[in-house]
Amino acid sequence: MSRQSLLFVALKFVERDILFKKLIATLTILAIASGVATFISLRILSVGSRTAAQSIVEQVLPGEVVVYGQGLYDVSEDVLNEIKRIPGVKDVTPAILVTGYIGRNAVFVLGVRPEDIKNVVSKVVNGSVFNTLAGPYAIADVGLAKKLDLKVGDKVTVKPPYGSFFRQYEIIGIAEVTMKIEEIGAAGGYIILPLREAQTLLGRPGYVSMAVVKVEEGVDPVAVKNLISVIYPGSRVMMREEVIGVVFKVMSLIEGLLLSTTLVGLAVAVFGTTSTITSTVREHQREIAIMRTQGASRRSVATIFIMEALIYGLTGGLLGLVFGVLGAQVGIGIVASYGFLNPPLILEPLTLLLGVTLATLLSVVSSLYPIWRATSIRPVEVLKSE
Amino acid sequence: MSEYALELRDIRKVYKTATEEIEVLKGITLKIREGELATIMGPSGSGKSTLLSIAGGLDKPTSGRVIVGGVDITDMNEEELTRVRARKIGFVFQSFNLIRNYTALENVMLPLLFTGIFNVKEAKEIAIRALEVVGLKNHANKFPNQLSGGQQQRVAIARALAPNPDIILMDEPTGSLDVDTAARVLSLVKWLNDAFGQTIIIVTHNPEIAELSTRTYYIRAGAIYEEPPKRTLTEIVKEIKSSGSSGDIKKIQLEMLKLKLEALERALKEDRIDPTLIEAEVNSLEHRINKLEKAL
Repeated sequence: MSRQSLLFVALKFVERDILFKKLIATLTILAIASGVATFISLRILSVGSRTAAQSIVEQVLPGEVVVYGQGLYDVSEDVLNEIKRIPGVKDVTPAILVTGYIGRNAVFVLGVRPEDIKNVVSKVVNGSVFNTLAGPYAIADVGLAKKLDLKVGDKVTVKPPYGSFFRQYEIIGIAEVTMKIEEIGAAGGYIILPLREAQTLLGRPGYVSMAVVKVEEGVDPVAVKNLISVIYPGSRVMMREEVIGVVFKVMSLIEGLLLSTTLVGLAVAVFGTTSTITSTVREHQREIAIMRTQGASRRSVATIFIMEALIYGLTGGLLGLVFGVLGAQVGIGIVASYGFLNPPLILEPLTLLLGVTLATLLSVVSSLYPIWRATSIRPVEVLKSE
Repeated sequence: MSEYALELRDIRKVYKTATEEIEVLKGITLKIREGELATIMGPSGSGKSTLLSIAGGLDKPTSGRVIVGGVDITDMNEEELTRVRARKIGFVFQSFNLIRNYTALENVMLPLLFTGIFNVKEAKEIAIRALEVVGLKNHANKFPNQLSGGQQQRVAIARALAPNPDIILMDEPTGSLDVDTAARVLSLVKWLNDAFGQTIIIVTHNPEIAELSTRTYYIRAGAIYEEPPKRTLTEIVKEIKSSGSSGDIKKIQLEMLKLKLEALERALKEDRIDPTLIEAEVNSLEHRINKLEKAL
């Protein structure tokens, strides 16, 4: 049988089959589409979040090497001054990043020097930023301001993570904070304090939680990292890429969890297709036998039903692609509304292609067994029941 | 070429169950000449449908040989049998067995396309002619559920006839029809045999059908008995001819056969069919074409 004839026979059969049972066909296509949509939207969200996180880390860490202490905030500023004197080190930026509370709301407390504010704030929405190392001033993150209804001039009481000590600060600015590498921990938002104020609040004057080391042009950052590790064995020294790697590891874990949800969706799609094709094949068992008596080969009969599965898979896949992109947009909106991340909508052709291909492939693969069964039956067995 | 459209030589069929062996056919030998309308009669369970399945390559005999149009199909595998069925054997069943997803025209096109020698355009052309022959050209685009029982059976006959097979096997073709409709369908069957010279074998338990046949066989307890040829209804058949003169119909058939011959030769050139099978088929077609040309 020529390819053209086979295509004619198969397409006519499938077209009528879909037209004659619109509801089942629609439900099957929707089942496949939902699986693909879940896969595509989660992939788009993941890619967007990774990109956003990477760009944040790169913005926030204006250097190649990051120094942490063993505890939460035990990197001495004296040590930092000594690091600054190491050959090849251009600059050292100290910062405090811990969780604290405003009332009962968990927040990230970020302590920075006035000259480093540009590294943690992308845009001042209202008011201004502080220009001293100390003083009862604070800058609230846009998300936090919205959540707690904070305005410039309001006073907030900030508590450290431990103890009953607290201090009051005046909100002098509301800004978009870019330093959001720890947002996976999901506190309610950011409050930025002058570095000394943060140290006082934590009761650790002269100590910070991290320092970012920028190296001179042409100097190997790995060499600087190794040198710092040797000189200060009590510290944890990481490359910026390692920090990004840690962030990505956490994100990968979350992606893994999300993808397992996607697998459930895909499994539903596969079962849906298998069930539809199985019932279609059973329903047409007699007609398959008739076709065989008329000279249809097993290959021709199989082609008809594979074509049906292919059409379900392809239609479901393309529909899932559209739903997936729309779903991703909604997801991005939801993530952005938390004020932590603003993932861009990145449409990777590979992801989209993979979604549609996966749906088509799974539909075809899941249909193979029922089709094989149907074409194995000898026509005489079916027609005997006449 | 063989003068027989169908030869069954010492066919035995034994069904094995867990506890016993049932011999349904006990060494049946049957030779149906080209152009015959043979009827095989027998009560339910006598093995007549099994015999028809074996003759049509749908079932395998336990022993014996099956030769269709000069080709021994006994030892063919399922795929080879499928190819043989497409070109050499037509089936008509009691319950019409049209495929509901296809229109009448497409149902008739199917076996033509399955032969692998016709393209869609040629298949459509032949199918329209076949529907014209059975008087259903105007119903070509209707689906089976939009046709009456009699019309469906006529479509099934057109489908069996379209590829110009060596034999058409009919299993109780009027079993699901009322008396009047059955008479019309039978008249069509008889007329096709007369006008087309189409070899037809009908399996039935209806004695009225046997009256139309050129030869009647009786099957009982797995053995076959031949009755003398009956020609008593010849005149009745002449009265119930369908529209169109015999000459016109012969012309249509001649065109259909020539189309098939061309397609076969083309398929052979393009190496799309087994050359060992084609020789007998081409000879058979040429023989039928010569016969028709002489008749015209």
